[in-house]
Amino acid sequence: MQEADTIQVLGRGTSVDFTIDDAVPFEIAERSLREYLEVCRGLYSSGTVSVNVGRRILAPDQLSAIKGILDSETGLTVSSYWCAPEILQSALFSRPAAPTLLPHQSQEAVHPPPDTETAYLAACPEGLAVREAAEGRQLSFDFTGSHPQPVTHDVSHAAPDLLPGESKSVEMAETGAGDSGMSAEPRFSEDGLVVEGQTAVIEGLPEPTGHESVHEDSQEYTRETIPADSFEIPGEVLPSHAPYRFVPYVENGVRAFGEDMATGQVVHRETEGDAGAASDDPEELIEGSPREPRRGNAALIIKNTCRSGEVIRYPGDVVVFGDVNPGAVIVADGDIIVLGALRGMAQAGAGDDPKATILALNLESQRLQIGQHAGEAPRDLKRHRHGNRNPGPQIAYLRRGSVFVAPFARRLEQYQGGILYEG
Amino acid sequence: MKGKTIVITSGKGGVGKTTTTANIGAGLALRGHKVVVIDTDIGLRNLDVVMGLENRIVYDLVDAIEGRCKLHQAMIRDKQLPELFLIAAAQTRDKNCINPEQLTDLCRRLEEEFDYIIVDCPAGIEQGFRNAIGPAQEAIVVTTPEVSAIRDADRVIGLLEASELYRPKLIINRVRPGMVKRGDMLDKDDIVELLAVDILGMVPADDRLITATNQGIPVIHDKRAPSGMAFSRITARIDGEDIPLMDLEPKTGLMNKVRFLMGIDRSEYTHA
Repeated sequence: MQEADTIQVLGRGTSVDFTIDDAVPFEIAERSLREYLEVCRGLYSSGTVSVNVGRRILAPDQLSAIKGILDSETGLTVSSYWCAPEILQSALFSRPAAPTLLPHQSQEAVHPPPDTETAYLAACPEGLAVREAAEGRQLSFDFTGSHPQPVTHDVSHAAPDLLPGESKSVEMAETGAGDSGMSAEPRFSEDGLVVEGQTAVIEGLPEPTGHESVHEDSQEYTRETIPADSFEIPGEVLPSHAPYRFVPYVENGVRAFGEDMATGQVVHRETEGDAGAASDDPEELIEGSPREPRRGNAALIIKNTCRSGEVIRYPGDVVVFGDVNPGAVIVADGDIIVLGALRGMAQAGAGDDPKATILALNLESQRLQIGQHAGEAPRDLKRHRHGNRNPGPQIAYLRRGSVFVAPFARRLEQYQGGILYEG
Repeated sequence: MKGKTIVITSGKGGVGKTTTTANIGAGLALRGHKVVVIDTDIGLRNLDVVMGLENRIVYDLVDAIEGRCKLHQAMIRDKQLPELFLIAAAQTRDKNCINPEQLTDLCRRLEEEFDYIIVDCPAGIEQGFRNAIGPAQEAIVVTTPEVSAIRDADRVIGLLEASELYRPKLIINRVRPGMVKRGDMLDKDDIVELLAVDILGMVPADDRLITATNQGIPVIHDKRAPSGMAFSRITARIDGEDIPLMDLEPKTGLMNKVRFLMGIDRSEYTHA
């Protein structure tokens, strides 16, 4: 990872993570957060966020400082604080009296009881929710009530129960494994995909990461294009590896979006032959990150035909309203959905996600790749499809390391059969 | 008077850009417009050969751009059509000696005087291509019904769109209706579906076209050539006439077969 920086903001759309480095003193973290929010003013407004305080136990004045910064700089309401489960557990089990400290009826959230080690539990009016997603089950401690009862939730239902109001958790995106874009309840607006319910998480980061400052040009760009009176962020997405940097539309070498440019489509979409001419920044940002694949980004929507020579790399789901012609390449960390004919090369789950899928109304690609597994269409594909030129929507999925293509039935179908694309 | 600059491009070489340029230029002049065709294939000029004006070149495009001559001195009047002019490419230079701004400037000056400026684009997507599409307000993409040409056309359409030349028009050249009918050649609908652009016309493969090109007379002057008729219809469409797209039909019947064998009529198809 890169040089240390205190504040990193990752992700847009479904999830925004405010990440504070664990190692730095609180004063520096506080100043960095304030500086970051100052430059990014206008990006966030009304909404509730949950703040993950990471691996450190914060004193109440520190919590209220964070809350104060967030309140004054962004207009966001801090609804709850989280912390790392092991920290909580040690605090919880070493101190059985902890729940009684919760002032769940008190509105004086910013002035919690003075016990520094447990006070962080009380800092939030709604109480504290800690979740640990593991193996499809989720362990939850809900401290809103007077008795701390460990509750297990089924993952797919856990998130809405846990958080008050509209806030939706980061983990949401990971619950619906094969169809994260859909499970996050996207809705369409003029600006593209908008995912309702935002969560901002401040969490401790094991390793220091980040870039030093906000890219000046990009920042201007963003400020122009994002409505200040809404917490909804239009369909453009920050590449998750790019700490509060926005990859702007790059004139040279990047495919124009037409009307989408006006809405601030922020993409890394380059034409291969001109790769050198494109800005170096997007390349570096997308290539240079070893972070795990994130499925929580809002989908990239491409509203025209992807033509030969175009390369689209995107750290999330990609939806194409049009065809993907031979010679075009789409590489997505998430799913690929083509509302048209897919004839080019497509790689879903590029960050080694075996649950990614490729869905197309007309899947004609000779070669598909999911995660690290590639598959080539059988020579007698026509016979497999019984001579049917357009057999309807098809889905490509991975089973036991092989790519299969089956007729698309419905979203949560467990796909079994299909044509084997040998890798 | 405000003219219109149209670039004719294809990506792949040898699909008939230059022939198309010559014929569209001649066709628009036949319809009474003032037309200038510009060959931007610097170093590999051949539009002058196709138009039979090789011997009349004194000054060329690079001379005009670099100010060694006046613009009208570089314009060569066509043999048949007094309203058609050619600006030839330089043969001794290369494509890097001009830039898109210079060509745009030149075309803006020509637009004051002419109705249509037709720019013949070189093959490839390098400097020559960027020069040629610089001044264009509209683009025509020429392709043949071969996968390689279509792949290149797709790429070029993508690059044109990136240069804000949206909705280029497509000409499919060298169509062989007999082969299409037998299913051995890509059909018009397949090509249009893949490229997702509007089709301007189809030009059949035609021996008369080769003859005409070798003689330096655009085939559009040959009233009996199927390709000439196709170009006539294409120019009419460019000119704003609404002519339905015709399907090319293979010739059938004994007399046609006899004519074909006797060499009286070597074209394989009629126009339905």
